[in-house]
Amino acid sequence: MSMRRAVGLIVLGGLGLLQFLALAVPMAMLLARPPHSLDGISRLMLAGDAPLALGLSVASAIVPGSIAALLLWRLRTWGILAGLLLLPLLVPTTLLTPYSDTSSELLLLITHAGQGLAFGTACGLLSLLGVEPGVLRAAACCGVSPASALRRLLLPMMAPGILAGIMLAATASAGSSIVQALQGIPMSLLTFQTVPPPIWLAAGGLALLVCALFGAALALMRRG
Amino acid sequence: MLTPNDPAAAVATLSQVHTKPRPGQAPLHDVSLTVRRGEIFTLLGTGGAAPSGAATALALFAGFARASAGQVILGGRQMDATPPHRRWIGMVSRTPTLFPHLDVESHARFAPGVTSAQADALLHRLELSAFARRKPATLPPEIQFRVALARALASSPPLLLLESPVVTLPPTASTSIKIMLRALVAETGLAILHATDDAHSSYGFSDRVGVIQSGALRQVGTPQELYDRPASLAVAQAMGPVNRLAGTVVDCEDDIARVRLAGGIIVEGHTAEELHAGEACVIALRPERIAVAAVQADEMGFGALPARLLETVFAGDHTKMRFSLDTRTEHGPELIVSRPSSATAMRSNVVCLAWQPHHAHAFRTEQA
Repeated sequence: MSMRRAVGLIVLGGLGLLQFLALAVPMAMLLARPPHSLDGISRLMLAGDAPLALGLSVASAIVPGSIAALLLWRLRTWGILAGLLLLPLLVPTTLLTPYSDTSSELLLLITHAGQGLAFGTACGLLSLLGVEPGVLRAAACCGVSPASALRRLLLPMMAPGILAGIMLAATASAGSSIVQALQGIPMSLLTFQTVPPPIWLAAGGLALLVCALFGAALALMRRG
Repeated sequence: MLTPNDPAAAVATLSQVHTKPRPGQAPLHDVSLTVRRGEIFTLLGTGGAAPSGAATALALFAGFARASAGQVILGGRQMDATPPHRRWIGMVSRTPTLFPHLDVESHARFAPGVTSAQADALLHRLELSAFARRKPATLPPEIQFRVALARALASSPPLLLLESPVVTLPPTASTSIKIMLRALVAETGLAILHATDDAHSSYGFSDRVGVIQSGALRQVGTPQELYDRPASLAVAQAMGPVNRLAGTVVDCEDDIARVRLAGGIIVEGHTAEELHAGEACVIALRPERIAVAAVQADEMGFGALPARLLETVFAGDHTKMRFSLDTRTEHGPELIVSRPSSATAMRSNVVCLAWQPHHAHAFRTEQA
């Protein structure tokens, strides 16, 4: 394995691990200490954290999302790493929304950042799937360095995907934070309170299973 | 002034190169070749569906593959550790791999340091000026191929690596591109290394051809040398249609071998190696080198063989006829004969076939 590929895999693995932790940690914290009051949530939303969450979601879609999409495309590594990075898109919404409306500011931000990363990765990767891998070789044969090829070729080709990722991340984030903050009462709290912890655990396990199946399907696609 | 035969005119050289196996690429085994200034060198891959090694040789020059032994030299400098973008070469791969978001003019200006005037001149030369503002997706395959050429030639590289396009271009388009490239080679001294598995694409285009099979270079020469004097059956087959007659060597004198075919028929063929009586061999014979006459064998002269016409197939500018050398049954050795379509049709099924001994080539069977 070349050094460049190893570095790429380490970066992807790191992002995938962060994505997993972004789901697993809030789940564990919520199970350990569930919120019981609406006051904290309303205060949190109205204090201006919702726009921060939205900004973080968009930023995650742009920077780490684009990097992850580029690495997945370049390394042709669409197995479990892709599954981990896209985890928030695979997990049912009913599992995710309560996390974003809990009494912890950190959990709110982590969840939104993870969702932005997933949208950025998915949209960026989709825009790159139509690009022939040979374009980088063609550019190199013209005397264009890899950095210049990234700037002049890949980023413009990814631009529609990046924009789509931004829009989806912003919409999802606003829908689960700003809108509810304006309403004053997060609807999703009801969902959380009515679902007992064992169900959450089972659902979390199912989410990981979906992730593994998704990774296996992608790996099989690669083999044709 | 450098001439093509001057050693200093070598633009690209592989010297005793070996490579390791990679998916989809044949490893090279002790390949040495030189592409000279102002020369079009075709690497003709053979061996059917298996990779021949021609693409590997191009990848070595481009910097997309590494030699495990030997030297890769471009412009007199060893290039083993030089990244692709610092090699100053042009390359057009099997698929044009154009950039979908750039128009034709932007492709011509893509290489660093190319001015608008240079790009315009190149577009004009490649008859692309009318398409300057068009995006690749809106262009037919022939124009896409020309755009890829413009992008590759914009920085005036001394070497162009050219793979035969996957999409079969119309014959007129292919011919006009070859004529344009030949003119460019004559004017600028550009060297072209062309990889293909179609011998016909080298005729009238290449100065020299190297037949490569299973990663080994089998023979190098002008297209006519390889067509007329192949060193092996593999080379003979790679260069064009050939009849194969299996037999046993009766005797070999000077460079002519007498070979007994099935049914006891004796034929003669030229051989470059010393064959011994009793050895199994194959006679290779081009279809158009066989003379056909509706006469008796003794009327046609020494070496003429009676034959029976089995089938005639019209193929445009020529007609293919299938003969059996056994006039009584249909199980004797068969020969395909090619004649101009304008030739008089055969009125009789029983005819005579004959050929010059130096047009038939005898190869030892294990070599074949």
